[in-house]
Amino acid sequence: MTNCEKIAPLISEYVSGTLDAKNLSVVQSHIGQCAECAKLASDFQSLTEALGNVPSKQPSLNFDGNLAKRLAELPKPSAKPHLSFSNLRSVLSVSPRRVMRQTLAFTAVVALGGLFLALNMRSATVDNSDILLAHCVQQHRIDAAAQPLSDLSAQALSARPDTQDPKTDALSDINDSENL
Amino acid sequence: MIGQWARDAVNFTQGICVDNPDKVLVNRCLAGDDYAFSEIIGRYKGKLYNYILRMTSDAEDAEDLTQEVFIRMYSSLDSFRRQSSLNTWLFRIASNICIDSYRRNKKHKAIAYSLDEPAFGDDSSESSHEAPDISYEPHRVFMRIETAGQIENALKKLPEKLREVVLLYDVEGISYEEIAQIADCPLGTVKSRLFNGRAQLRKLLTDYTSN
Repeated sequence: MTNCEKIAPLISEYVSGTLDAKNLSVVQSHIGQCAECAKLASDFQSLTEALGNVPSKQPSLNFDGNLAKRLAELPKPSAKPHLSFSNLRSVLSVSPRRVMRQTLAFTAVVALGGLFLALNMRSATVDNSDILLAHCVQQHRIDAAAQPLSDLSAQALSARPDTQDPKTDALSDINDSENL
Repeated sequence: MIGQWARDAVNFTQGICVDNPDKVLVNRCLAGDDYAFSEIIGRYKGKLYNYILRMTSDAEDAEDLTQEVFIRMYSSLDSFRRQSSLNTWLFRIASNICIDSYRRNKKHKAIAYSLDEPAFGDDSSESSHEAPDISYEPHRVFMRIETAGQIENALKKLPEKLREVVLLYDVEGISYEEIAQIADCPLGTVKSRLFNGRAQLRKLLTDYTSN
């Protein structure tokens, strides 16, 4: 590799102005002696200036509207579940023994909770049915006391006559014919 | 209503006056401020569009892919690590999108850039004998535009990785370190790609002018 081939990559940095002091003096001294490398440096300088002045173009007037339409189809970023890489790593780094311990503790808590609830529900059911029965008996007594003795519904079924009085039957027939 | 306007005005002023407006805008975006997101679009759409246009050489694709950059940004804003600047992050997304697009297109059509194709458009015969002109004299403005056209054409002929670095460094003015993050390669690779890209551009432009 000739000296020029070694220097050439540094010339690119020299044009960019990013060479350190040591390499800068090496390149400057070489350019002072080598016309070809001096031409390379000059061309690179012209090229970088021209690239910096290439006119920029603008996207179409529909750009913002089209982008808005596409964005509207996306969910809001805040609606997404937030799982950072560090969170994921901490989840993955849990030891199996710790998982077993946590699982057993969770199972015990669930079992105790279930037992407690079952007992409570059973006693609650018994208490509630006793109260309801007592309330019904009480209500029945009040209703029976309020009804007159002539009312057949207030009498026991065994005490009611099997056949009705003929007079009462005739009266009911008249009533029925009146209704017609 | 007036309160909302006042908040918008304060946010807008904050975005302009602080040392790192991008950081403020990102924080506001994360807080659900759509106005900040549109600010970011306004700041970056031109730069990203020009970069992608020169990478893809297709205006319609460039517009679509530039929108894709903002969509990806919007979707993954909560995963944005503040180790790099917003500028670096957006150009990295753009770079990845260009690579994806290049690979997709490569499957469908063979892209062959021929050095024999007309170098300077329809009126190449008139401009082909002009030396590259970087002067700023008013009477040479037309010639300078022709030179810009020559550069655009020469850029299209560069290999993708070299073009990426040349565009980011010489056109966008992004530092070596940031380009290393964007292109996901070591610093030395950025420098060597820049040198090779410039050398190839020089050769292409010398060939044009000598023709």
